[in-house]
Amino acid sequence: MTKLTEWLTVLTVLISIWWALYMEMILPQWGRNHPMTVLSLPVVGVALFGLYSVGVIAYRVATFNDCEEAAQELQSQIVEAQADLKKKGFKAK
Amino acid sequence: PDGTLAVAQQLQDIYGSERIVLKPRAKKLGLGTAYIHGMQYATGNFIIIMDADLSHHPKFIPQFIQRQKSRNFDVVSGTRYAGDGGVNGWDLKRKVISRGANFVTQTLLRPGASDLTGSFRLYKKQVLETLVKACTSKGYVFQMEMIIRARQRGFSIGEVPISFVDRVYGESKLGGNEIVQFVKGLLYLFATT
Repeated sequence: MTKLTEWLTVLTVLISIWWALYMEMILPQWGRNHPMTVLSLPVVGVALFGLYSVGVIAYRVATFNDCEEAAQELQSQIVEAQADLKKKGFKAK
Repeated sequence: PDGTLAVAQQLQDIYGSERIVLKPRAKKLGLGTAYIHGMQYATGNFIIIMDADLSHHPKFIPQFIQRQKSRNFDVVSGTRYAGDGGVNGWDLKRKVISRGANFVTQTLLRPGASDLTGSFRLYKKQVLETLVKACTSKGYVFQMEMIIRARQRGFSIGEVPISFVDRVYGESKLGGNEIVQFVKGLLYLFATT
């Protein structure tokens, strides 16, 4: 199964459950007492996923390691390497 | 075309041609074919691929080797996103794009590797041959496809956190065109693997 078919399968299952809920084929009592909730479930689902995504990305951006020491180490190693190569006869342009 | 060949030849004169093997090609022909071309002259059982503009530091090579040995991994991938991995020289916008793209990729493809677009990797020579033949994309997507195909074929993938110091020399490119290519490639992999 490709990832696409996996997604379509899961989405179909979720939509079927929601449809059954809406058509009062499952939990009919609850469905009749909370019609607005039933209708808003898909929207809420998408919104929650959206919030989750933004949250995760924001967290990961905030905790993205900023390798200051690596950059400095590299700079000093470049200087060292240039001096060493010059000794060995390297001619930079 | 950017003059690095001349520099490499000088280095070859200094360090010896048993240590530095140069196999230049007529013109710029793309990364995938460069891998294939290089592999023909590689004599070992493992191949390490890395950027030569100092954004990938050779000091990590022993860690890659150690990681490979620990569980005989088929592939070891350098990651900027996990453990001590990280980046230097990226502004906020670049970081958001990078993490955002990685999040979308992880959600859609669930690849089992934290950094799909990185290009600092160690491969068993046979594995690299197999994967390069199976891949059809270019650029960033090629790196992603390599990992996805590796997963598909049941190859084991280990990770080593690396620090990526961006573009000490040269210019970094992440234009609209790269983004479009990335999205197209992502959708292609999503729909076909």
